[in-house]
Amino acid sequence: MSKAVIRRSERMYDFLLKLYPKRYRYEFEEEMKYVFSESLKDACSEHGPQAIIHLWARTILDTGKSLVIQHVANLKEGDSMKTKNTDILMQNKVIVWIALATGLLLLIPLIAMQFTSDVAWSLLDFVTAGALLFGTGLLFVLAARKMPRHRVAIAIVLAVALLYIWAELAVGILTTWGS
Amino acid sequence: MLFMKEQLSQSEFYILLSLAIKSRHGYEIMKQVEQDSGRKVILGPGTLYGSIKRMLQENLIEEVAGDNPRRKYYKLTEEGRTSLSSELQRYNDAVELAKRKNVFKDLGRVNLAL
Repeated sequence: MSKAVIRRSERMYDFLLKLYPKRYRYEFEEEMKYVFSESLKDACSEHGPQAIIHLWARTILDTGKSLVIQHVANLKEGDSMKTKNTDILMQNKVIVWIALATGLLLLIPLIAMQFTSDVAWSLLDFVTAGALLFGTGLLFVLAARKMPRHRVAIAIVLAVALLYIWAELAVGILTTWGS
Repeated sequence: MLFMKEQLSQSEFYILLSLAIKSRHGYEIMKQVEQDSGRKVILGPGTLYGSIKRMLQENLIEEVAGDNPRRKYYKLTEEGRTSLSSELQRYNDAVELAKRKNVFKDLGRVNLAL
């Protein structure tokens, strides 16, 4: 059981590492795999499979933060070859943050699916949830830029709208969208 | 010395401290930091190698050959050693100052065995 969990976790971490910039991966990918793999073995042997969930929670936060830092650093390092596209990205770092936050939130059900059959999302569920989260985040940024004094109200309205749509899709309140 | 960092981040400080005695590879550094900090600082691979990358660029550490040829080992450079000493001196000065001003007594909860 533990070996299977370790193997699955390693495969998922390998996938996460693919999200790092190429240059960074070239230099540190193998070392990071090794560190994560050893941490997994430690967690499992010292505290049992439950410690793997704690390790994953830490790893998701650590990876999310580190991904943003390394991508921004990568863009800065590539300044000598600066193109209009990288300028747009640098000016809109917040979009990268929203995309990463969406990705990291979607990792929660993805990881949960590996450990329990109670969570069973289809590809369509992931796409829909991703579009909802990313769209709401983007809408908030655009609206808050236009009306900075009302950003708290905008956040509340969007959060309520998101929760309502999510609930409609999940269980159906007034409609049968989810079915 | 052309460039020396004024102040180290928490992870950089603990990584330098872990390399003060001997060269280590990433996983050993991580475990040593965890032990030195009493498990208050637990570095994930992302933070660990992000810090290592910065410290290599700032010439505080360098890559060296180690016991296991498949792993990358790191050791302190002269600049790294100087940075670590300065940081420890700074902490020591701050503690001395706090002692002189009786801050520990006032706080009533800090009890360091220095």
